[in-house]
Amino acid sequence: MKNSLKKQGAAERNQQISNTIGILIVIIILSVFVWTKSSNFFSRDNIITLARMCSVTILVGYAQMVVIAGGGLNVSIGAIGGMSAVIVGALIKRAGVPWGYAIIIAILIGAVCGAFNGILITRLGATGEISWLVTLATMSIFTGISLTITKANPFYNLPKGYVWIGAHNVFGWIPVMIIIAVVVSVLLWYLFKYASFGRQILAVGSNQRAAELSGVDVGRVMIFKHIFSAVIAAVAGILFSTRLGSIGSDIGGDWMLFSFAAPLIGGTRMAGGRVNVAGAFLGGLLLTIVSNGVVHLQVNVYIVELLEGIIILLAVGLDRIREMREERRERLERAAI
Amino acid sequence: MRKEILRLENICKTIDGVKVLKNVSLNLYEGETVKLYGDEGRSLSSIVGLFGGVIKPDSGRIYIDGKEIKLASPLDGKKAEISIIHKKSDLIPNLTVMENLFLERKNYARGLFLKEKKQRARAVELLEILGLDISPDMMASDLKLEQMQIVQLGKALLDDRKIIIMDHTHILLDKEQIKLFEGVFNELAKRNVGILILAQNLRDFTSVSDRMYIMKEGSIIGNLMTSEMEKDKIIQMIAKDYYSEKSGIYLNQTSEEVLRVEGLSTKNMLRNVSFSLNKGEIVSITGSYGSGKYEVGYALYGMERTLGGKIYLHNKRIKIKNPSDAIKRKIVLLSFEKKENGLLYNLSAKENITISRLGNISNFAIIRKELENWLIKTVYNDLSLNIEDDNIAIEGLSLVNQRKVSLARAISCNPDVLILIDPTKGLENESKKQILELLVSFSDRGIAILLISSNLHEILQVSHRVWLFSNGTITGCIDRDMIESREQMNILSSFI
Amino acid sequence: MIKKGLVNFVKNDLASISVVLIVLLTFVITKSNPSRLSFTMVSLSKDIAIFTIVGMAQMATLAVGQFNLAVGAMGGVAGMVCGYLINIPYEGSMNVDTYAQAEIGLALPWYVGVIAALIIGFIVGAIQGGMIVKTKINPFIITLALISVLHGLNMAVTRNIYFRNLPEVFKAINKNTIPATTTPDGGQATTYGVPVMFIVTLVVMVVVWMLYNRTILGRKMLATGVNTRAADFAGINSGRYITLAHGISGMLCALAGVLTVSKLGAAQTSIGDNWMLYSFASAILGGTLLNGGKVSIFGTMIGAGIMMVVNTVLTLLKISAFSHQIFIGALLLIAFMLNKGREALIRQQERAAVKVQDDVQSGGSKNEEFA
Repeated sequence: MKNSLKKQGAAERNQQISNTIGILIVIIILSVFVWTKSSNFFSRDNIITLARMCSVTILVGYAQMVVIAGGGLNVSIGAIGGMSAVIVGALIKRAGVPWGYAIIIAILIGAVCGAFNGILITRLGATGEISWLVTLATMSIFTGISLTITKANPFYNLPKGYVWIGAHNVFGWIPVMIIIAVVVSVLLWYLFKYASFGRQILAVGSNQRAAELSGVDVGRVMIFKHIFSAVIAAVAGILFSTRLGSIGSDIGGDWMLFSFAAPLIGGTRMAGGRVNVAGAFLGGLLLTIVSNGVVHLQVNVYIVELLEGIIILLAVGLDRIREMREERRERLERAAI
Repeated sequence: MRKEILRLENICKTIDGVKVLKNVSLNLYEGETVKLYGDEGRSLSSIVGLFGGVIKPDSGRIYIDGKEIKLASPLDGKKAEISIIHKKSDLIPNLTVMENLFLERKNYARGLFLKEKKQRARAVELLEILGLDISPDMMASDLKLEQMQIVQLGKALLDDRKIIIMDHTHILLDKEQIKLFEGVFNELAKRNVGILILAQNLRDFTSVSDRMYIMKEGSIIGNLMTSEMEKDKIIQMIAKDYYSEKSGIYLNQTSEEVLRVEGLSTKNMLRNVSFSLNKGEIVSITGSYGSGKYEVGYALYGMERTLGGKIYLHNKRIKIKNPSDAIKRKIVLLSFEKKENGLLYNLSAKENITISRLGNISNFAIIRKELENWLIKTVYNDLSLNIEDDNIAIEGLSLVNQRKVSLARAISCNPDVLILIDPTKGLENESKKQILELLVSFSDRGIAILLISSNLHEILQVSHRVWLFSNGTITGCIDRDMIESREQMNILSSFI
Repeated sequence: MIKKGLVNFVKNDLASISVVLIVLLTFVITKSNPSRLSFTMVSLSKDIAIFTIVGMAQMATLAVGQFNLAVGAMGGVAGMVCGYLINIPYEGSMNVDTYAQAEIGLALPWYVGVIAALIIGFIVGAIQGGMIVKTKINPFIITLALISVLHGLNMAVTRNIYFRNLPEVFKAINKNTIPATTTPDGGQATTYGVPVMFIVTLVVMVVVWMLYNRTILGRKMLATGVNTRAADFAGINSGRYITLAHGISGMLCALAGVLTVSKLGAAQTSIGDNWMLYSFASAILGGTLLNGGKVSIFGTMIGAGIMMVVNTVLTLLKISAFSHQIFIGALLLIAFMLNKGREALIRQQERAAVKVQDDVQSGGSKNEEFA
């Protein structure tokens, strides 16, 4: 009895590692498969393209992961990312602000958006399942603001320095964008591993009531979690626009699915309380390879969306199968007592 | 000889590692009313769950009308000709009384559509029989709790089934209602219906029952005819062991007051609660379901909005707005009343213990591992706790070790006052003893403990004083001397 | 009967949102150009008709305590299926330019297309519900993934073409009004007519009302929604009713999709793209509780009405169309707050009930033992 409990505990710990290795294997198999069909896949250009694309996907995934870790969902990540990019564009092109300051201001405004989300959610007392509806409303608001600013006319001719971020490769091989993504990864890993705030997010995500009874200020954690998420989303939106070379209000419009897919593939628990930063990184990479691979295989591009949907179902489904047995019965028994 | 309609044979069930049913065998004849009296609500409720099809026995058999049956799902339970009156109403709150009554009645519907007129006529008739002065169109959520019980009785009557099982644990009906139920039960018994009543309370329904089973810690220890029943004897059967087990636990007490509460009231529950707590003292609060005993703890911990009242800590008036406030003032609450109040699942034992002290073990919000390890080590030494691997997720630990981890978290805060809500709930006897011993060791160190519990067992073992709670306020007090004298057992056992 | 209806009307808090709708409508009527008013109102009523059904599709899942993010995707798929079945292909060869106009189609009678679309909608919805029940994966993720799967499938199979050559009878659902505004020879008959589409919606509302108020199925779905555990205990197979609710939701999405095809005069994959927010907003504004167990069919129509009329009002106020989304988002927030208020009210009632019960207890038998 005791032994089996211990084993179960050890299995829990190993699960994260095995999960990460699992995704790595899938990535390798997939890459090799695409490579056999299209030799360009491992060319320098394509690898750099992949790295740039995936750095945005990964950051978007992180933005969602932070919220999920604390037991919630945020569907306004794309809108915040898009709005921050639009604000950078407006500051540079309309107000003549130097691009460096513009980025800082836009990220700060992103943080305000996150605070808005967090405060609304805590004030309305919405927790758990339904709290995301608040972010659906704010998504509409943020998108509306982007549209109002751009009037559907993208900003072109961005400053050289700004575009450099998206175009430059260190040593000719490593895009600046992926370096930023890696730095954010390390920071996040440190946050969840060593910072008291990260631990508090996980505590709230794992069991909000118990966390509250333990003296954790749940409302504050919720608000800061959303600020964190929004800042990462803003960085992702700005990075995306540096790669594109133009800023339109449509940035972030299609981020919703892969913001969930990347962390969930990576083994982050949907109910909160457990994250896997490395997993989310690889999850973002996998999603990027799929969409890039479809282009290389020259099949119907519309299939990408279908594939993403299926991947997310598979990722969550496989995780679920492990714990399906007897669960319903146990729950009923507990409830009966 | 009357026909046997229901028989349980050697039913065993383990839930969360605790044997709640040990070789339970009982039977019920037609037209007979049988009461099953026990002190563990969990064991009684699991018997109800057995018939409802929500609890699957580990071993043993269930016979109905002499035929063995399997109850694997609630639907099977419905098919098995058994009506159950649940303790927590199983009425659907957003439906009306009538809709609830006829939710499952096929013969009041034509195909998919409902025969409203026929239902209404029957509902009005039924409510009249039951003496309920309510409209059939009343929403179930607007009913009072005891009215819900009666409507459920109505549902049972509509079923026209051979067997009725009533879960009377945790519930207090008033005299009139008990009389009503008793009247209906008498009537049903004449119609050859077998009735099984599960109660934690010695008094209710004893007069209508023909026989009584007595259950203790999951096994049936007595089967008496009502005619040969003596109250004192039963109490002795239930309670005799508690005293012998108590030896080995030494209680000390000082008279230095730590906490004093004056006139505490909350919006929903508490009315004018006043009491005090001395250093090194264990004071228990007990009462029935919904008496407000839990709310006292939560109110002291800043989790309930208080309307009035003063709280003094070391003779200084304090205000507690939220749990982190309370922890700063060295008041810590641990609650095990519901599972979700307990632990941070998915996090490790270590992370669970230090969560309340993160501010003290980190620099600029970065946790210093050596400080964290030091804190863990100190607490482990304090509790002489031995957890082999404190990095694994908390679910990997045994239930008693999970409890100890919670206690360790409390101790890591250096509390002056420790409020515990149902700390031994769901544990086995040996584990219970370990936890209680820890509590006594805390009190030896001068921590004042407020023990809020529905478990008679632990209260009698460790308390210096017991406050009885009902209707949101203190209605009685028993001190140590009274606890020692056996007459008070009577009060307690009929109260719980 | 009327009195009871009125009491319910106030109790469900429909009165306040009705007032809002009436104020908004009055504004539209007084401020808009009289010559365009008839056109505006007809067009508005068509939008309201479609989005009432979309709102009811969301309501069906909210009733069992869940939600359906894929309302739009389901509507899109059903619309395209219907379009393919009833499209009359052009004669002649297929070249790239006309391919976008869909040279394909089965030219089946219009009702076959509609019925097929409804069946497909029901099946897709039921599959979604079944997945949620069987796998117990977070419903958010399942319905989110299904948006991609359905939308992706729709795009991949049809390659984003249009079905434009639809039968006249089918288009008539959109064009005709009762009484007809135009005489058969093209003259003006009356100024105001109720669009057929609106009448279709009214009929559907009655059917849905019957479902929830007069049938066992509806009652069991509501029971499941308010407390799945209690429903399980009561012997209701909650999984079955959750699946059914998603099926009904899918079917209503399909109906809304078909009506949109008729309104646009073409089946295209973009149908349903903006439905998600509207579906939640109209259902919640209308008084359907997010916690499940309570539906309000008439309220959903009022909710949809507010959402649609607000757009018109904003245009009349000369607010740039780009900013409209801000107001729509704010409306959803308001709806959310309304829902909180309604739920708090219900909880208060429950608490009051518990309190009274305590009073009874204290006067009862319990204290006697101590006396």
